[in-house]
Amino acid sequence: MATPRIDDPPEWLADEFEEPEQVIAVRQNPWKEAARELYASKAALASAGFILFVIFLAIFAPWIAPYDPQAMSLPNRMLPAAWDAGGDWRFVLGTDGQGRDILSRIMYGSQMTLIVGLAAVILGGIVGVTLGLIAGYFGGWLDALLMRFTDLQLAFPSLLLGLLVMAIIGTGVIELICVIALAQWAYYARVIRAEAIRTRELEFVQGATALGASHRRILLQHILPNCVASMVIIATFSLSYAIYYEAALSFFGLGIPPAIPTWGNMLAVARDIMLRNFWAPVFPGLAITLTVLAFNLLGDWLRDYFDVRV
Amino acid sequence: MNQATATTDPQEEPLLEVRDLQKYFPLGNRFRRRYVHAIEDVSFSMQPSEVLGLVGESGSGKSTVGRCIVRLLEPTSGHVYFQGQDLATASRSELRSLRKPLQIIFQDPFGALNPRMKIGDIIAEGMKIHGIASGEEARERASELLARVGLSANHIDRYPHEFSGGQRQRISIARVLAVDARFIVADEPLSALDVSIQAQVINLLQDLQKDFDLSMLCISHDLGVVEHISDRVAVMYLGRIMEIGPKSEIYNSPRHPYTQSLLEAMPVPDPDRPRREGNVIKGDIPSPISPPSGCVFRTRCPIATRECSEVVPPLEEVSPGHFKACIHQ
Repeated sequence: MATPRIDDPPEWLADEFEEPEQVIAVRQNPWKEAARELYASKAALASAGFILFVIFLAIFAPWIAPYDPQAMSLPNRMLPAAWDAGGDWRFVLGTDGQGRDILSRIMYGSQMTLIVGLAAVILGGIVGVTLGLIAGYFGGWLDALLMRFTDLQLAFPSLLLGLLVMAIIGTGVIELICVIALAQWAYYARVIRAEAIRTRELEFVQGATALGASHRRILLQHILPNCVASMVIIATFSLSYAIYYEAALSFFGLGIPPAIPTWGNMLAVARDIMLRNFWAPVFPGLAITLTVLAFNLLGDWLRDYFDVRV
Repeated sequence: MNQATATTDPQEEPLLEVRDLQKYFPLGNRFRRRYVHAIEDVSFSMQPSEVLGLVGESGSGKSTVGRCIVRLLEPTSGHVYFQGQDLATASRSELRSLRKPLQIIFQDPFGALNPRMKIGDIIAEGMKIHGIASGEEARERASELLARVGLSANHIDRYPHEFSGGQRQRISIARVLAVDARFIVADEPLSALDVSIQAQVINLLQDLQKDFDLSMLCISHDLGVVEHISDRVAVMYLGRIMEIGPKSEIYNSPRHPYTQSLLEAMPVPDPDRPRREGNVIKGDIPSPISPPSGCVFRTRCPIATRECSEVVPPLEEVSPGHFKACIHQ
């Protein structure tokens, strides 16, 4: 019992024995550092700027849109963009077949696009993350069962599934959100399951088990917070998918009711007059393309950003 | 095998008793099932405030023993009695409260702390789970414990990545002290640290062991560390205990050829010490999937004979409290 202590180090070694009191600052302010890295990547910076711009449009559409998006003006039907022959500068991006201002409709349309996208991503995320955590953490037959479900989901063409479900349960904003979430959850489940399996074996989780922590506590306190990076990355990509789905389903007339302006609805309406006014589908199409591209580029950057550290 | 559970002081009730512990890990699929024999028939017992060093090569099963004791692994068979209650067969809900006095410190100081939790929350977690303290009180206790393990109390709101390996190991120690642990499994607590830091952490462990009257199972492949900290030493090879006894006897008069070779291979910082080459073990540790028959050490043993392949040598008492599993010597 009375073992001697290891002697104090000789003086000439004292420096090496001094444990560095100075802490290693890996990340002082995560937001500041993220902002700095974002600034270094021009594509990601432009994407983030564009997304902020779309969010700004969605919030302030009622104040900045030049017209009511539903206001029809039959004398001004099918106007091309203002700079084209026959254009009118009162309707900068032209008008559709009922004489509604395309610029105003794009601004208002961004509201529904973002709301549907975000809601679907959150709903799909909650379902997918929950199932993925459970499958990965508990493993065994539960894991096998849940993963066969995700296989089933992933094997099915999701647009086709969406069309089918919408045809059965009917159309509407809530229904659309559910259908898009249905197409998304499996991706979360897959990735989060892998993360949960990886984290489950880490020693801090084992330590929490030895402390007597409940499954709930381990899942919510220890595993979930360590999956946040993956969740953010999938959310970004799936937001762009959600926007694309919303547009596609609305284009087929199975999404948002035609009265509500969305980018997909605008495309659907523009299809009828495309041959006479090709500008009508160009601008909503551009809005969809650029927004999806921006979310994808931002997702790429986020993936790289988190990757450096993990 | 029961004689192996005899202890240095037979009158006292053991704090922890491990009896015939076995752990097999399944391999392959259900049609071609094979098992890794990680630990076989391990039995020993420990007194309150005793430190038992568990040494062995990589793959000898020493960490598995530690993890089976705190039941992070389910033992295949056998019993672990802690204060008279069997941990190995306790249900999940019983285990929750039984676990409190029985804690584990891990090898890797970088994996042992949740990177997304503040130090104060990491230390306070066990107190919250077991209703020892919460809120401001838990925070206060956490900062006292931080000071106790030699860190500054104002580190409480920092994250693990801000600390060095030695500092993290101190935090791990504070975390197990927070739940009033009586028995600590220290699974290679020093092997991931620099030598200079090792000395500090081992001294800290030793001080705390005395101050809190802890029992400790110190798992290590470093004979020097074990000699420094232990009261008794157990030597494991391929899942079995080869020799167990008081530290002075194991180090001064080892009776098992495996222990003898280990001690001879141990570097001693003394240039005048003559080099002995008689008893150096050759080759690698055999596969635990199909361990040798009889004595598992016989394939590398310098004094193995034909009988060694026929019987599994029982642990025999050679002097009070000193057991060896060898039919020779």
